[in-house]
Amino acid sequence: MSHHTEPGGFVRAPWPSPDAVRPDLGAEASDAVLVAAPRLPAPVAVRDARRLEALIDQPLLDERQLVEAGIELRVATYAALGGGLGSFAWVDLLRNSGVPAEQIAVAGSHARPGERLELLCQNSQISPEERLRSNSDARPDNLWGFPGFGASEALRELLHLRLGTAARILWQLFAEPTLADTYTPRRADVFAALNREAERIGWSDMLLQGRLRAIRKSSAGRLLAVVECDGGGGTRRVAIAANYLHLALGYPAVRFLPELIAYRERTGDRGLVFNAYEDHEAVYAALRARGGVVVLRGRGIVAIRILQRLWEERRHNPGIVVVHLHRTRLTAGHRFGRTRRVLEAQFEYQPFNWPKATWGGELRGRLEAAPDDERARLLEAWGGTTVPRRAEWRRVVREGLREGWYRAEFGTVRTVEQAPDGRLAVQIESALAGGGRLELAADYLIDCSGVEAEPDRSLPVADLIRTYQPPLNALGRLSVNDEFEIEALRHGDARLFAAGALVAGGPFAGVDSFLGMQYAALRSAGALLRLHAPGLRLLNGWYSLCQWLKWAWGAPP
Amino acid sequence: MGLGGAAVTPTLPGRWQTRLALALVPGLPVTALFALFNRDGADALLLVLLYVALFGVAWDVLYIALQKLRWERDWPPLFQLAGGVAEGALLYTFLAVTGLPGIPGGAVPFGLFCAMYTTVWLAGFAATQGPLRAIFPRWRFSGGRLI
Repeated sequence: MSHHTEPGGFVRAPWPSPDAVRPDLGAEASDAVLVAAPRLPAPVAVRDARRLEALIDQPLLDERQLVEAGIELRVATYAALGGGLGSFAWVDLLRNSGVPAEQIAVAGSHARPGERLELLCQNSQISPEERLRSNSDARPDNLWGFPGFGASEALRELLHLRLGTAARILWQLFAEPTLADTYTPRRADVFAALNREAERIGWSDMLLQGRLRAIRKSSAGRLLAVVECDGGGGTRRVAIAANYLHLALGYPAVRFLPELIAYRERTGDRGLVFNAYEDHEAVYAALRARGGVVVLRGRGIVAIRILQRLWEERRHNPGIVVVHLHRTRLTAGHRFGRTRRVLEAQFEYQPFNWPKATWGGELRGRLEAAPDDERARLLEAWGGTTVPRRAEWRRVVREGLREGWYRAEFGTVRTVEQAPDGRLAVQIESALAGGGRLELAADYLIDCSGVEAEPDRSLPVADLIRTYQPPLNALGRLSVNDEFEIEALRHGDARLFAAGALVAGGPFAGVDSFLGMQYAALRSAGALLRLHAPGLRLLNGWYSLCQWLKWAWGAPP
Repeated sequence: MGLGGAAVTPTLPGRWQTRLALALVPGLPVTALFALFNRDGADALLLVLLYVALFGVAWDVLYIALQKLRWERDWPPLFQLAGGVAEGALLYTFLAVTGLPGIPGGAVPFGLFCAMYTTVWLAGFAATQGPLRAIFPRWRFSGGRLI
């Protein structure tokens, strides 16, 4: 489908306009594809940005006024905001539960649902052949989780007569995590599968590429998402009016510790201090050429993957030294009940971000049943920073410690300065008994302490909180009920659901995981079914099997 | 059958429901096939399936207690297999030594018991590794509960 230009110079995505939509909708239209929009006068392009802002700033918007102000109005039954994996899990479930693509709108910044995650993977040194920290059964492209990535990969290896590899994968699936390292899928396989499913469900036809600006209640009894789209010689605004909105914006930003922000602001330097999720390939090239000292912060999976990459670079230049800076020295793993997590060389081992039973077993039920403050306590006990036990990583750490090119230090960074010789002078307040200061001369500092999840770091979420004051949970994120609905935004029959990092600290632990987003989608579909949401069927039993067969065959749902 | 644990992180109600459901399908049709070719011992074979399910309800209580000793609160396929072997061994010991109500001691030959029990177990294991998930997409999130 080609884009065409509207009067007023706007480039329109392939999407029916409210007036063009099903003009023949009659009385039977209540269940129809698109709710008929009011008959509106032709849009007049209004370029007074301030007037637009004032209009959008009201908590209850009149759709007619929006159109008169030159904002394009699109009407859908379901709208997913974010356009990443959280949106994808919800839309994929809707599509596989009978909802036609014409009834669904998606707004997001990227063309493909996995695009942002793939970029973060690339920057944090997970190349296409590397493996993600994810379960075999957690398939973002397949909500049934069957066949798992592990079975698919084993079969492929078998067909290529690589019997040893196939046997190893099957053994992992059979004995993990007790007698074998947990199986994890290759990045390339995950994203290829995701792209295939996006094509099957018609993702690009549902997508409006743009940034979410605000969510509002409309006087027509719907919820509105105001989206800003670049291109066509400026920013144009589109309002998506829908009965059921789904919000999954992911992590608003990469986390940057205050002293590193201070360093960047003071020196303007962009070449020595990085967050691991930023593009920092140049560091490895420079280290390969000249060697040097790297300070790593954070004890999670990103840190250990970067340590592995540095170990690989040491083959080219043994002059690379790594100082791993931990805030505190751990002496034992986390405890819960009568069980304890294994600690080795300052890394706590856990196959995934949370114990496995938080996704579907005893711990999931326990968290859901717990009140808010108890949830925070449980999440503290089960979470924290962990890494999966992988033989190759344990080897890297063991070798590094034995050969002396890798060591741990304990303390907090007081200052980071650029020394006269151009290197970094990092001053550390020791956290060990007796305290004291330590000064490190380093060439690079890579901060692996993660991504931001504070809701007010995201403009549309901060705006939502300011406008409607929805309650926040004990972790300060948006509070949702057990069906992932933000109840404060109920508006007539319209509902707002949320998933992903924005709702961490709620009824489910692994909200930002592939499987967690599918779980959230299934729960919110339960609420939608009770509301008799148009086009939606219960995905279960015979119908589910038929839909699975279509998936297996590659036929549209 | 040790199969209640097939939902990787089962709960006790989930174990029981999955176990009983698998005893019905594929357990019952598979047993019926064996009974068809062993007309004389047909009743005994159907009773064996019943005892597998009944004993299993008690085994599941033990499994859940053991599962609580694991940080992940999970139950890998390896443990399912070990459970299946232990359950089969105990049941056969009863069948051979004392007999069970409705089945006199030694009435079920060892070879026949092994063939039937293994087939039923493998069919159930195969069901949990895929088909069950395609039919009940919520099963894996609910600790193995089907209702």
